[in-house]
Order: sequence, then structure tokens, then C-alpha cells
Amino acid sequence: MAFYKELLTLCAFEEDEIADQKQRIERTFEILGLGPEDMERAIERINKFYAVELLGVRKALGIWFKELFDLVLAKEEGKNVIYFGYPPPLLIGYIIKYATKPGNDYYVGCPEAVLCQVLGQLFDKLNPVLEAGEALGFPPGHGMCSMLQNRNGALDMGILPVPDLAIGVSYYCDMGPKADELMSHRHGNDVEYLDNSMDSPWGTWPDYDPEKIKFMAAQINKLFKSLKNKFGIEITDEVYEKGNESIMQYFMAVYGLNHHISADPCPLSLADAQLILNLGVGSTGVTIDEGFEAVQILTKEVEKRVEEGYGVVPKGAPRVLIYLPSFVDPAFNNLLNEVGLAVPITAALLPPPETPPPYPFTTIAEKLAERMMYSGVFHSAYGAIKFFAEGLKSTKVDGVIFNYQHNCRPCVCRSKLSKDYLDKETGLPMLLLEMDFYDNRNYSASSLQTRLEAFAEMLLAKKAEANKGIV
Amino acid sequence: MALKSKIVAGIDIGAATAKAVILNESKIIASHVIPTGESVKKAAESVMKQTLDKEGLSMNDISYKIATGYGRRAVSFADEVITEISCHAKGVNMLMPDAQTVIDIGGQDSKVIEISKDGNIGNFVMNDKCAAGTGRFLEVMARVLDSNINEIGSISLNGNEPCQISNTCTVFAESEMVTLRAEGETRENIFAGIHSAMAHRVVIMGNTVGFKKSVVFTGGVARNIGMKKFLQERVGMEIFVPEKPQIIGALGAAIVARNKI
Repeated sequence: MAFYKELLTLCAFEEDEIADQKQRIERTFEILGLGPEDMERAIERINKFYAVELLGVRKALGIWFKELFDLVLAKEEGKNVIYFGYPPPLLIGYIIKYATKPGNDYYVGCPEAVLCQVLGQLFDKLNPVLEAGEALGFPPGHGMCSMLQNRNGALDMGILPVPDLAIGVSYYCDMGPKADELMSHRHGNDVEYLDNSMDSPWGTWPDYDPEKIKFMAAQINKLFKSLKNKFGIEITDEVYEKGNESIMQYFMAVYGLNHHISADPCPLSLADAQLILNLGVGSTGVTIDEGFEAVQILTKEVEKRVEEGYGVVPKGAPRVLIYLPSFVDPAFNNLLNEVGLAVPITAALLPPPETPPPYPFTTIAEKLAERMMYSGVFHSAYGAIKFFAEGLKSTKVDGVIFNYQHNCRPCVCRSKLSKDYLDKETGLPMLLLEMDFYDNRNYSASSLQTRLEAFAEMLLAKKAEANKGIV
Repeated sequence: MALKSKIVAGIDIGAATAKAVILNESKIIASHVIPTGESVKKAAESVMKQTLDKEGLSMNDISYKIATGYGRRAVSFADEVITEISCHAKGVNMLMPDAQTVIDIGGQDSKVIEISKDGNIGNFVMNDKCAAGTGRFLEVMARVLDSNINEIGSISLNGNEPCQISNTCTVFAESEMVTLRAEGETRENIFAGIHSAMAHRVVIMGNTVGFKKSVVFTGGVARNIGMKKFLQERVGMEIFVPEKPQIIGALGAAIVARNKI
């Protein structure tokens, strides 16, 4: 039996699928240096951290593997490779992917997200990639998150194909484009930058200076022009609508799933929920084709759990919203449940505000720019905090865990501002947790555990106090 | 039917010391502190036995036992585990019901805890991953300056011009000490600078929670009178130190245990 068969079968691959994909699978694992021992470790981790009795979870795991194969083999299979940076311009990525879909001769995605998920969460073998990134001049804690170590390290190790085009994004993190510049210098690939700044005056969101939209739109048009000149890719209204539809279809399905996860007792672990949610971040390929189906299957399974009263935590457990789960460490994500906290929602699933955008922009680029600005997080610290506070009002949570990336410049300053603002606006208890979403070498799990346990104890005590006198 | 014993125990296994408190209703009948040493499990058994021996009790006399501290999960004889953050709030609340803030500085971490009216955690903050701002920082500095850890607080009080300690990293601060000594700086001023820098770090962290009267200082470092002085200066209000600040976590665990029976 092939050394990977048991693992891929666990991840919902069919026998004939494994046989058909044999060469691709073996070539991918060869490039990544993954052998039988790695397969055993991945099987052990998957069984430990994920609810493999759920077909939807196994399908999601399988999609991540397919995404990995498509990514690693893209060049060898003659595809054009387009990477977008992190945080990803998701809709733009989906639109490009949709525009290139007919020939299926493009890989469009965020490779570091795929490596975090598969090498990090499943194989626990991301460290050599991060260390390769460090050797390139990306030491931890120098204002550069491990996502930048990740992609550059992987390229230097030769486990990722060199892209034909990298879309550098500086509208949130200004260090990403520096890392893209280094990548271009070392590997000779083209880079197209999407520049903008998240500098807007405190208190202005959801309003904004329309000039910022025009500037960002010009940046997006520059990218579209480059796509046309370099690859002949045309971004038409139809492509925009279809790309929009595909991402909306996926995320609406995820919202539907989340509705069931919000039940009491909470029926799905955070690690399982993240498998699905992260697909929309890292993948514009297999997710479009198979992700929707996986979400639907999982939704039915979770619905059944709700009917049966099954919970990953006891009924009545304190409910928290976590800002961001770990991208590489399912043990941390499950730790929240282990200390008795239900996690019905993450910040990524907070509903958008009902107020319509103030300006009637009409071109594709302007509409894309406006949507990004309107999401708050790319507007300003205030925009991100206010968006978060507004979204919180519609959730029924007992507390918030605002965990922030210790070396992320936009995040760190915002953490204390967020706590103060949310204390005042919502009165919800909030735990500030410094951690690393992308590199589990940079925090102590036992120290985090004490804080999470204490937070759970505090929320339980507050609930008990609030319930006093209620007959 | 035999009456259930009202004697309970709290065991706090910290990075530096293991503590146990035996409580009979609201009265502390025995407490003990020993170094944690290499084996957390052995330290737990040993501190419990030595505390029981003080009153001629056996484990069978204890109705309920709660473990806390970073080694809480290694206490095999405990009926339950609770974090030290909840326990310090409970312990201080019993000793000083009007206290609203706890500064707890132990061997490997420091915390500032807001106590709710009923003695639970109202809010808290804990140092993240750095040794600066913990008892370990003081231990390292005492070693570098060849001083007794139990005396450095008193020495710091004699510093008339506290040195500016610029490094917040324990390892780098160590080399800074060597440089200061080489420059002829007095031990008194160096220790005053160390205590001042550490107090600054703890207070900056604690501002996330805020300091409300009365403020109580617990943990092993609370025995250091220099740290109390510099914390008071930074916080701008009087800080109270219980008679046995090290056992407050164990006391809190015992109080929770008492409420279980």
C-alpha cells in the first residue's frame, strides 16, 4: 500500500482518486520531503485535533491537500502562477481565478496560507520553512510576521514554484511589499503592488475620503492592465459578477454553517470550524469547486449534532468571540474548548454593518476598493475597532478574546485601543492575548492556558452572578 | 452518620516555591512553603505532608483539596484545579474584603487582578512571555551582583540615585549590570534601578486593568520591601502586603475548596 494512502483516505479521498492522482501525490510529497513518518504524524494529529467522524471535516482536509498538490506542482504542470499577499485581497483573487477558469491553466492563491494549514496544522513541519525565511533576513519580532518568513523561506527551499506574478499588498501591512521585493530580487518574478494606506482620522468610519477610493481603484486598474498585458486576462463586468457570486456563495454557506455552530451547546470545535473558514482565505481553486459541497455536508452534520444536543463544551458554557484563531496550531484552537469556552464565532464572520457605503462608485476597481475600505480593517484602527464593535452587538457572546499578533504593527497598537473602546461600548469582558497566529515557536502554550482558564473562570463567575435571582 | 470534616486544603505549586494552606472553616490552621525543586509532583506531596504534619493531620482528614499554580495539574491528590489568578483574588478578598486590586509577582510571571465584589476575577492581565517583571529577573540580578535575594530589597532602599536600567530583557540586563559595576556604580543604586525598572514594567502592564484602592501585593516578591516601595511610587497609592504574601494563592484555593463542601 502506498505510504500516503491511509492519510488521504482519512481525508476523504476515494480509492480511484488516489490511484488517478498517484504521480501528482508522490511528486508533491517528494518535493516537500514528506515520507512515511510524516504521514503517521499527520494521521495522529488529524485524529487528535479534528472530528474525523464528520465527513464534512474530512472533505475539508482533503481540499487542503488538493490545494497543496495544485500549488506545489503548478509550474511543473505548465500553469501560470499568480500569488497574492497576506492579508489577501480575496475578491480580487477570486475574480482573477474566475477570469482564468475556462482553461484551468493558472494557479491563483495565497501560498503561505496553504503551507500554514497543511505543513503547519497537519504535519507540524512548518519550522524548517520559517527557519529558511529567517536565514533570508526575516528574524522573528522585527515587525515582520511569520507569513513573510513562510513564503520566502519556501521559495528558497524550492518547495514552492516561483510565481509569474506576485500581487504585493500594502494597504494593511507595509512590510509585505518589502518581502515581495526581496522575493522578486532573488527569484526574478514580477510584482504588482496594490498600495493604499489605512490612515484615516479617528471616528470617521464608515465615512471616508473618496480620494482614497480613487487612489486604490487606480492601483487595482494598474493590476488589471498588467494582467491583460502579461497574460491576456480580461477583467470584465461578467467576470466581476461571477467572481463575486462564487465567493458570496461560499461565504453564505459558511454563514449558514456558523448559524448552527452558534447553538448551545456549541456543536463544533474551533479547529474544525477553521478548516472550513480558512479555505476561503487561501484557496481560489479547489474551494470554488469543492469547498461549497464540503460546507453543505458539514452543515447537515452539525445540524444533526444540534438536534441531538451534542456539544464540544457543556451547555451553558461561556461563549466567546475570538479575534483570530491560530493558522498553524490546532492545539491552541482546541485549547479554548478544553478550558470550557464555547467559540460560536470568529471576527472573520462578523456580519457587515447595515449602513450603506456613502458614495456611488461604479467601476469594478472602485467597487472593489470601496468594499475593502468599508470592511473597516483596511480603513483605520478606528474602522477596524468600530466594525468589530458593531458586529459584536449582533452576537450573543459573554466575552471577547482579542489575541493579537505580537510582531504585527497594525495589530499591536490597536489591541489596547480595542480593549478600551469595547469596554466602554459593549461592557463585554475582553482578554488581550499576545500570541503568534503563524508560528507556534513564539509563545508558551502553558502560559496561554492559564490565561484562557482564568478568563473562563471569570466568565463563569460573571454568568453565575448575573443569573442570581433568576428563578 | 459521620459528620463530614470541614477541613480543606489549597496547594499552590509555583515555579519557585510550593505552598499549602489548611483551612478549618474560615481559620487558617496550618501553612507551609518549600522550594519547588526539580519535581513538581514530589514538591506537591512534600509540601502537603509537611503542612499536615504541623497539625498532626492526615490526608484522610481533608474533605476537599484544590490545586493551583503552574504545576496544578501535577497534583495527583487534588480533587480539582483552578488557576492561580482566581485563587489570588479569593485569598485577598478573604483577608481584605475591600481590596479591589491584586499585584501578584511570582517566580515566573506577574499579574494584576481586579477583584469583583464577590471575590472573583473582575479583570486581569498577566505578563506575556518575558522574564522581566518576575521574581526570576530579581534572582538573576542578585546572582550577577553576588547578593542574597532576600536582602536586595533592603539594599535598594539605600540607593539615592537609582540607575537607569535600559534593558527590559533579563539576559541583556545581566550584561548591563556588569557594565554598571565596571563603571563603579554602587550596588545600592544599581538595585534601586533594577527595582524601579521592574516596578515600571509591572505598572505599565497593570494599567490595562487599572489600580483601584485598596491594592494588595502578593506572591514571593511581595516580601521584597524595595519592590513594595517602588511599586507604591509608580502606582501612586499605598500598597498592602499580607503577613504571608506567598501563601495567598494556596489560601484562595482552600477557600474555593471550603465552598465545595
